[in-house]
Amino acid sequence: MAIANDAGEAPKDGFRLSMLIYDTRFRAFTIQIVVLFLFLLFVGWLADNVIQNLAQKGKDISFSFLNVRAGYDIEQHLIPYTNDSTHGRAVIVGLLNTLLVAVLGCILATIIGVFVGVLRLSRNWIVSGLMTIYVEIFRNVPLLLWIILVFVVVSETQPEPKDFKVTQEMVDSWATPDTADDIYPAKHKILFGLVAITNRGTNIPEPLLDRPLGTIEVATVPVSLSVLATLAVIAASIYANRLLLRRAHRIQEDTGRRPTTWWQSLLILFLPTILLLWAMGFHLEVPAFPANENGVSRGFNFQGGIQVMHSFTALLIALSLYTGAFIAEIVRAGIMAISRGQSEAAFALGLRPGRTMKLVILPQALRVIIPPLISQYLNLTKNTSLGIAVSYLDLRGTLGGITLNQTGRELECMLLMMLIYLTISLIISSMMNVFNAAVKLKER
Amino acid sequence: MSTPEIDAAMKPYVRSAMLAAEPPPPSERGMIKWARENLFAGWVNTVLTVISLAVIVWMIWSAFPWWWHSVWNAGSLRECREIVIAEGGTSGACWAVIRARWHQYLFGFYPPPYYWRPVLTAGLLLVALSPVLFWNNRKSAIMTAVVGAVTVLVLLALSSPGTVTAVTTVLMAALILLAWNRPKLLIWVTLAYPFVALFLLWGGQIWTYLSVILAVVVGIVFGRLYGKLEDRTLNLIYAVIAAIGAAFVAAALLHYLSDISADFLAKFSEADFYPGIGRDGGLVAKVLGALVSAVIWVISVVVWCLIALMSAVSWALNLNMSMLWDFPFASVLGVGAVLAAIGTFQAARSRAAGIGVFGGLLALGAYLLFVHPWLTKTLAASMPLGLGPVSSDQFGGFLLAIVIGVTAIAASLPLGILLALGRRSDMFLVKTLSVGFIEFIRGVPLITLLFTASLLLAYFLPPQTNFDLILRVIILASLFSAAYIAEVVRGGLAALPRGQYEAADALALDYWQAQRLIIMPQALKISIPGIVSTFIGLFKDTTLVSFVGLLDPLRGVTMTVRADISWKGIYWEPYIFVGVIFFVICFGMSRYSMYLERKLKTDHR
Repeated sequence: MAIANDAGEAPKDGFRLSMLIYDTRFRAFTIQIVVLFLFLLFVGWLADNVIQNLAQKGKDISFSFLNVRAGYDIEQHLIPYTNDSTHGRAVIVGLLNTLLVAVLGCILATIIGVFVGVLRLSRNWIVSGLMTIYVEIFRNVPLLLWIILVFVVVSETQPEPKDFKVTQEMVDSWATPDTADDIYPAKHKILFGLVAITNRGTNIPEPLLDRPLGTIEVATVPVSLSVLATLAVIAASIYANRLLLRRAHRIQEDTGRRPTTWWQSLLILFLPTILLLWAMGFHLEVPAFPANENGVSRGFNFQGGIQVMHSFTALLIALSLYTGAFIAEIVRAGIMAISRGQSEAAFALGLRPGRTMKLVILPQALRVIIPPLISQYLNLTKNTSLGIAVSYLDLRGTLGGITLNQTGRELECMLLMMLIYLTISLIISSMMNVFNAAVKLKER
Repeated sequence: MSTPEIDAAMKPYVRSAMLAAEPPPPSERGMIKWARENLFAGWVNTVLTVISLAVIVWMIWSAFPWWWHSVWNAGSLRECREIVIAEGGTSGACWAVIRARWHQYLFGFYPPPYYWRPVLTAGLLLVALSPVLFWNNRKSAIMTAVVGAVTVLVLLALSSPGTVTAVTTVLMAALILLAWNRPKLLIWVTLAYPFVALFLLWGGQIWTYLSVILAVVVGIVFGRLYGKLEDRTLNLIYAVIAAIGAAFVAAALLHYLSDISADFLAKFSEADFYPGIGRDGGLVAKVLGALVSAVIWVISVVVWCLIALMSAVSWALNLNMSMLWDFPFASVLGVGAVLAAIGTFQAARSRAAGIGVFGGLLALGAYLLFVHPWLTKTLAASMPLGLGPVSSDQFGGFLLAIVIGVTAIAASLPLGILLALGRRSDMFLVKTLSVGFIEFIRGVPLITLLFTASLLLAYFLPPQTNFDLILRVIILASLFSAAYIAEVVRGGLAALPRGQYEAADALALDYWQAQRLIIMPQALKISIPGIVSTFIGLFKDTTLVSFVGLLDPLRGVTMTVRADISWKGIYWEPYIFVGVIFFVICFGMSRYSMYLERKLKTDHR
C-alpha cells in the first residue's frame, strides 16, 4: 500500500501504470472498469445468444399475443371473463386472483400471528406450549406440504353434493305421522344452514341487492355503483366518528370531563350503512338445490350463492397458517424487545395495564415488528405462486401456465410475469421504507 | 388477681428460641400453587386453560384410535382397511405404504444395487461436516464415531456387497482415529468431500475426478511459482510465458471480431427506427423522430460492439467445452476452479499478484483444455476404474432434496457474503450491480426462477447447449438464497460499530485482511440466526423442484405413490412421513444455530 503524505495527496513522483493496481486511490477505478467490462460482456453474450436462438427457432419477440383470444376458462374470475376474452384479460384475471389470495392471506395471517405470538408469551404453561408446538410445526415443514395436504383433505374427505339431496322417499317418510321411520339426507349444511362444503367446493351465501343502483363500465370492467355508494357511506361514517371523538377530546381538554360517546359512535358508524343496505334491498342468497313443489331436490349441484373453489380455500388456509407461525415469532420478539423497565415505569406513573399496552409498549414494539412483518407479507404474496400445486389459476397459472403453453412464447410470458411480481414486491417494500422513515427514532 | 398473672402481664415476653417454620398453607405450595399461578390466574387465563385442555383432549380422542390401529404389513389400502376392521377399529393408519415405497421416498429411481452409494455419501457428508459444525472440539470425534457406526449398520441392513461394507468399516475406523487424535486434520476430509460425493453419486471413471484435482494442483503450483523462483531470468521467462498466454486469449477474441453476428447488423440496418410521428408530421415531429432514431442507433451500435465481444468469448469457450454442461463434471470443475482461484490468490498475493494469479489460471485453463481430455481418455482406456454411471433423472426423493439443499447451502453462503460486501462497497458500479441483483432476486418468487431455469435457459445459452436440469436448479436455488443471505449479512455488517472498521484501518490491515480478521467474524456471529433460517427456507424450498419435473419427495414421489391403484385415496400417511423427515432436519438446523449462538456468545449479559 502506498503511504500518502499528510495531506492525503498523491506523491509528487508522477503517475506510473502500476499504480492502477497497487495504489488504493486508483485501484477502485481499475476494479470498476474491469467489472463494467465484464458485466457488459455478460449482457452482450446473453443478448447475442437470445438473438441467435430466436433466429434458429424462427421466432421474434412480440407481445401481440396478449390481444389474441385466450380460449380457456378460468373458474374464479373477479372481473367478467369468458374463454372468448383475450390473453391480456386472462393475465389480469390471474393477477387479481393472486392479489385476492395475498390480501386475504395477509389479513388472516396477521390475526393468527398476533393471537399466537401474544399467547406464546403467556405464563400459562399449557397455552404457551400448544402455541410453541403450532409455531415449530408450521415453520419447519415446507409450505407446499400444507397446501397439498389441506387441498387433498378438503377435496377427498368432504361429501358429494348428492348427499345433501332430499329424495322422494324422504319426503314420503316425513309425510307419515310416524316419526320413527323418517329418513334425512346424509349430510346437512353447516353454520345455520348457510354453508355447504362438498367435494367440489364450498358453497357460501351470496349477498344480493333487490334494488341495485346500477353499474358503470370503467375500461371494460363493470363497477357496481351500489358497492361504491356503500364504501362512500362507510368512509363518511368513519370520518364523522372521528369528528365526534375529536370534539369529545376537546371538551375533555377544556373541562376535564369526557362526554359519553360510545352509543353515538355506534350509531354514526353503523346506522347509515344499515339504512343504505336496507334501502337497496340487501339479502343473502343461500346455496340450495332447486326443488319441486314437494320439496324434492333436482339437479346435481347446489345453485345460488357462491361456490368457493377448494384450491382457493386450501391456498388461503395453508398460506395464512404458515405465515401466521412466522408472524407469531415476529410479534413475540417485538414484545420481548421492549425492556421491562418501560412497563414498570408506566405502572409507576399509574397507568392501567390496558393503557400501558396502548401508550407505552405497542408504539415501541410496532417499530420492531412492522419491518419484518411487511417482509412476511412480501413472502406470502410471492408464495401465492405455489397455487399451481392445486391448480389455482393465479398469475402464475394463467400467464406463466396456460397462456405460455398455448402461445409458446416462453420468453415474453416469463419476462412479463417476473416484471409484474417485481412491481408488486417493489411497491410493498417501498411502502415499508416510507413507514420506516415515518417511525424512525429521531436521533440528534 | 394472683401474682404470677400480674408478673406475666408486666414482664415483656421475649422468646429465647426460633420457632420452626410452618409449612405454607396448601394453596400456596406444590402443584396447587403452581397450577393456581400458572393455569388459573384470572378468568382469562382459566378460560384459555380450559379451551387448551379441550383442544388437546379432542385431538388425542380423534387421532389416537387412528394411530393405535396402525397397519405395517399390507399390499394395498383396501387390505389395510380390512385388517383394521378385523381388529375391531373404524379407522387406522396404513403405514404399509411407507414400508412398500420407502426406497422411492429415499432414493427415487436410483438403481437398487447401488443404494450403498448414497448411504455412504450421506455418512461421509456428516463426517465432513463434523469439523465445520464443532470446530476443534471432541464433539466432532464423537459425531464421526456415531455416524461411522450408523453408516456401517445401514449398509449391513441394505445387504450391500461384502467388500463395500468391509471397505466402509475400515474407512470409517480410520476417520474415527483421525478425528480422535488429530481433529484439525479432519478439515482436509471436508475439502476433499465434494469430489468424493460427486464420484460416489454419479459414478463414472475415477480418472476424470483425479484429473480435475490434478488441474487444481497445477493451477496453484503455477500461481506460486512466480516470484518464488530463485533466478531472476526464470521469473522473467515465466512472465513471458504468461504474456504469450494472454496474447493467445486476446488473439482468439480478435479473430472472432471479424466473424461477428452479421445477422444482427443486417437486422439493425434494415429496421425502420423512425417512429410514426416522423413520417407525415411537421418539422418538430421530424426532428423528434430523427433524434429518437439517433439515440436508438447509438444504443444499437454499443450493443452490437458488446455482442461482438461476447460472441468472441463464447466462441473461445465453445472450443471443446460441451462436456462442461455434464453435471458431475461441471460441479467438479466448479469446485476445483474455486479452490484453485483461492489457492492461487493466496499463494501469489504477496508479490506481483497479478502475474501469479494470471499464470495460475492460464495453467489451469490450458491443462483443462488440452491435457485433461487426453489424459482421462487414455487412462480410462488403459485402466478402466470407476463406478457404474447414474444419470441425473434417476435421482429422486430425499436424496434429491438433500443433494440440492446441501450444494445450494454450501454455494450460497460465500456468494451471499460477497454480495453483501458488494452492496456496502464504496464503488458505485459494484454497489449498483449488487443492489440490482439482490432486489431482482428477492422480488420474484423462487418458482418463476426455477421455470426460468427449465424454460428460458435454452434462450440465454449458446445454441445446442443443454445442461443438466439438477445443475441448473442448484445454480438458481443458490443465487436465490444468496440474495437473502446477502441481506442478512448486510444487517450484521450494519450492526457493527464504526470503531471496528477504524481499528482495522489503524492496524494498517488491507481490505481483505480487515474483513477476514475483524469484520466478518463479528458480523457473521450477529447474523447466525438469520443465515440459518435462510438455510432452512432453502431446504424447504427444494420441494419446489417438482414443478420443473424433478422427483422431489413431497410432490413427485407422493403423487407417483398416490397414482398407484393399490394406494389410491391415501393421504395422511405419506404426507406425515415426508413432513416428519423435513421437520427433523429443519428443527435440527434451528437447534444447532441456537447452540452456536450460545457457544459464540462473548458479551456478559
